[in-house]
Amino acid sequence: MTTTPAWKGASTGSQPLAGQVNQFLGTHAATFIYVGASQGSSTTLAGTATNTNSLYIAQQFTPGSNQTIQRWILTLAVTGSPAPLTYTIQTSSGGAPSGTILSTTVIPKEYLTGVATAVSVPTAQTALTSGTQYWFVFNAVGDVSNFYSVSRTTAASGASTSTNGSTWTAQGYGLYYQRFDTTVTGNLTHTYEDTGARWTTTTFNANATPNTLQEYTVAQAANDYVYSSRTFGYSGTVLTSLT
Amino acid sequence: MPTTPTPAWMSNRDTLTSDPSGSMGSDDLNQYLGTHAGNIIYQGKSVLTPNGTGGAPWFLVLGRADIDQPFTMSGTTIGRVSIPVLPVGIGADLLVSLCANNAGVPGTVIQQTLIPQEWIYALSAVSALPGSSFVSPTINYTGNPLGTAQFNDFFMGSNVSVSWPFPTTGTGGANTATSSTFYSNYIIMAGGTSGGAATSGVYTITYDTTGVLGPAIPQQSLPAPDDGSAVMTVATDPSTGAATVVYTGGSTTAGGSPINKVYTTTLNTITGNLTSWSAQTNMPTAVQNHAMASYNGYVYVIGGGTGGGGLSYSVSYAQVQNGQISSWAQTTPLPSSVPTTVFMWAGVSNGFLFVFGGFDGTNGQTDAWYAPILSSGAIGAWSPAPPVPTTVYVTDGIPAMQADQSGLMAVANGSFVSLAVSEFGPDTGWQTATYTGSGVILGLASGGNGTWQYYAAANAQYTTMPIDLTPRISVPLPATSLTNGATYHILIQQQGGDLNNYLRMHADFNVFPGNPIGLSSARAAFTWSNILNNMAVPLQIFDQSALALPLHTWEDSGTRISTIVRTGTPDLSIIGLCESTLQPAPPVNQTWNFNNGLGQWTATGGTIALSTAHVYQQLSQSALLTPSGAAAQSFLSGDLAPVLLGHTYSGAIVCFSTVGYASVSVNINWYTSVGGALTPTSGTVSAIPANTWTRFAVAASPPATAAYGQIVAMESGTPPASALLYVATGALTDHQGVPQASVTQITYGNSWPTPVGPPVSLVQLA
Repeated sequence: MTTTPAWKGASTGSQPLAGQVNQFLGTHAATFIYVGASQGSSTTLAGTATNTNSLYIAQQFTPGSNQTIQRWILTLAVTGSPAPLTYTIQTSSGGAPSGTILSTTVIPKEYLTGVATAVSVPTAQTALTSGTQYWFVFNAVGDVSNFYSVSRTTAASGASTSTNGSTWTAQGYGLYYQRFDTTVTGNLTHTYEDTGARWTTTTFNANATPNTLQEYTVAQAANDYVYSSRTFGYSGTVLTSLT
Repeated sequence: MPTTPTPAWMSNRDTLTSDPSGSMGSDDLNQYLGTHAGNIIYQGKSVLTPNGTGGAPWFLVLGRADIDQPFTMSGTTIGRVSIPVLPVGIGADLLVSLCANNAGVPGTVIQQTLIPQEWIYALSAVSALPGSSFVSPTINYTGNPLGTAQFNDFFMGSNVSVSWPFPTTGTGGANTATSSTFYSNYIIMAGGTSGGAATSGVYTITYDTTGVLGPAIPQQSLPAPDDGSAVMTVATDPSTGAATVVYTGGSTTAGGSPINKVYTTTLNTITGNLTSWSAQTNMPTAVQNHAMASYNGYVYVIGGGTGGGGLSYSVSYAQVQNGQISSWAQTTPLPSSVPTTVFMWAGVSNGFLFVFGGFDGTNGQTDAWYAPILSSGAIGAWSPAPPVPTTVYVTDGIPAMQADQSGLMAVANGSFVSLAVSEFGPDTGWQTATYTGSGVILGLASGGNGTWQYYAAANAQYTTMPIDLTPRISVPLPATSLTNGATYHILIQQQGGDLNNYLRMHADFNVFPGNPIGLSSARAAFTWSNILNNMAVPLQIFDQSALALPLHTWEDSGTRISTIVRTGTPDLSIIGLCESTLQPAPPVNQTWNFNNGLGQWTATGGTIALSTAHVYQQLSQSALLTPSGAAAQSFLSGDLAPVLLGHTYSGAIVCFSTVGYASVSVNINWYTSVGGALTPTSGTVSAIPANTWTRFAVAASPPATAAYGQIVAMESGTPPASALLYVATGALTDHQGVPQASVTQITYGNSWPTPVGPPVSLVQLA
């Protein structure tokens, strides 16, 4: 074995793997993602949403310059307890997502609430070509009681949906998004390791001390993961607790 | 179903496929993949400070009894508790609990922490030889590198006053306001006033380690009288061990101007005789009521009055060679912020020169300072030391008492105050005890093993008492939302140990306001009675104030804890790290899986049978609950298991349902020693999804009078007969398992005041 195995948590009922021990014995390939500079957005909310219950949901975007993106802000909500939400960046083919994936991020339900909230999501560093159409896609997941809701904007177009992930139908609305590049500006917001096998999010207080820390690590079984969410407690600026 | 929360810390008892009664196997790995909930615990502010009047050293034997100390809470939070604990042999683990009050005895456990034996021993500067608990312990220094002042201080034993027919005043005796010092087993007194006139008489008084003070023996008189404002110390030649008494300054007339004269004499440590005094090179400055100390063949003259109200801030030093002083040099002067330089105490411990207190003519002072003594004999920069808890100033020219290399102590204003000092600097604060003795002529006999015998003589009697170097283990025990003014309990229980390896604690009198008396019970019996002679445990409680630097971490309800050991010098380097992670204990109920049958498990509101239809991991069978369909609750009950009061237990079941069911829980039934049912502990009722092995768990402490626990796997809400429940494991486990402990020393290339630089090694001490 020559490289450190990718991060992988253990799943109840699954046989343990040597890699799950060896993952702690080396440093992992990682990206440190700061706030970055905004490179494009569509942020006028319509107050409605599209649900992922049996439906793939996608939004097209065309950068106006060559850019490398590694962070997105999306407005999402969760109902019930669906399996995690898979978010991909894809190239375009025939005016629809091509299925060629440039980046994958799995978003656990614990990251969201029942109220549509703008959340920061890291991705792999994705080089985009000016004038070329791309898509971000939410995979279908859940059922009538357990699903994710992707907020729409007032745009009259931009979004497409699919029941199978390959045949797409354009919609008369857009989806909310902001995308950010790799500029090292602002606080360290995410780490992204092993092509999304493990990623973290840190939020900060006004005095630049960490406020919350969320950690996601994919696990062995299908749709399984290990997740941690902590809030830092202080006495003044002195750290006293993690809850 | 995703394993969403980061599992609590646990050390492994088994391989990765660890037995499912203690944990899900995946938890063993996943604990490393997320940040854990916990507390960072700082030094904190003392909210309960011991101030006894002198008790019984190491009187309480935890190998034979559980000890409980009631106290009145001040404030609403607790961060840590400092407990005097002596390891006998290698000692044992220590379980410390904060309990609510239950009619004067410890009640519900609010918080609990297990301290491993390895920590206790590694942080102790002294320990006792292994042996019977029915005899007094034989104490020895451990030499442990992490036995620092931070975790070791002094305990004052009970004092006695003894008739001493050798009065220190009047004709035939010594004089009032004399200059005094002590060395080896001798008090040395010189000069003073008698009838308003300065005198030149010199006396020595012998003492030992058993409490016997000898008579005052006249010695060679001073070359000139002194009114007692001179100061003396004894320097030891590092090559020959010869003891030279150095007598400096003072005034030849009562209340007169200071002089700069220096005289020396040699003390015969066998006979106690002094040779003739000889004049030496004068000091650079004429001073009186100054301070003196000695170290490594050097003597130091610090501050003093220069006459007419003037103060000197100078520090002069000289090397004593063959009983002679040929020259004086100046070194780092006292900081100008020192409020006064007369009647200060001075002492040396572990290569640090300390000065504290003083009297400015109106008020006593509490200032304390220290400086490192360099190899040249000069001293480095002064740094502030913890202020003395009470004003202190010299009476009769007595320096602070140096307790070998363990620290300094003194008596002032009815208090015995002590400051532990190690090679890594002073402790963060002084300890105090109420001193009910009397006397001003002081001596301290060293037993050479962390014990001393203190003497204070005056007129026709003397006071004597034992003093013990005392390891104090700091126990992280965070608790909030406590009630100010309410009674709580610190319950202290040894875990494990044997007849030769156990723990002891001090007991003292009148320790806390209101004099709450400590309680004792046979181990695990919870039948409480007052500690003999109505004594108490001189522990100390600190709140959660984020003061100074982090001292502990406490994660996942005490499952993983750590202690950071630092120097007491201004660099505050980290020199040690203690870690502990609990390993889940084996189940206490005999039948926790069904590979070998159902054991004593029974069904209520349904039937029980062995099944191979759905088995978990490497297990071969499960217990199948088939509800009757008519009962509000259908459940399986395990065998009764003995439980210990003051402990916390986890009840956990792993079960499976092909169709899923909305209302499943694990409960713990409690019973008295005669089988009487007590209020059960009910776990959270939640759904089991279809076709997924799912773990349900609950934790609780046994109620008072409980002797047995019983785990129960339950379906509630009138489960239909189709809601089959396959139970793979049902385990009742003591939360306080065996700690996996480590103690690591961190070493550097240098020590303060030289910049220490980066660490050079990690030494595994345990």
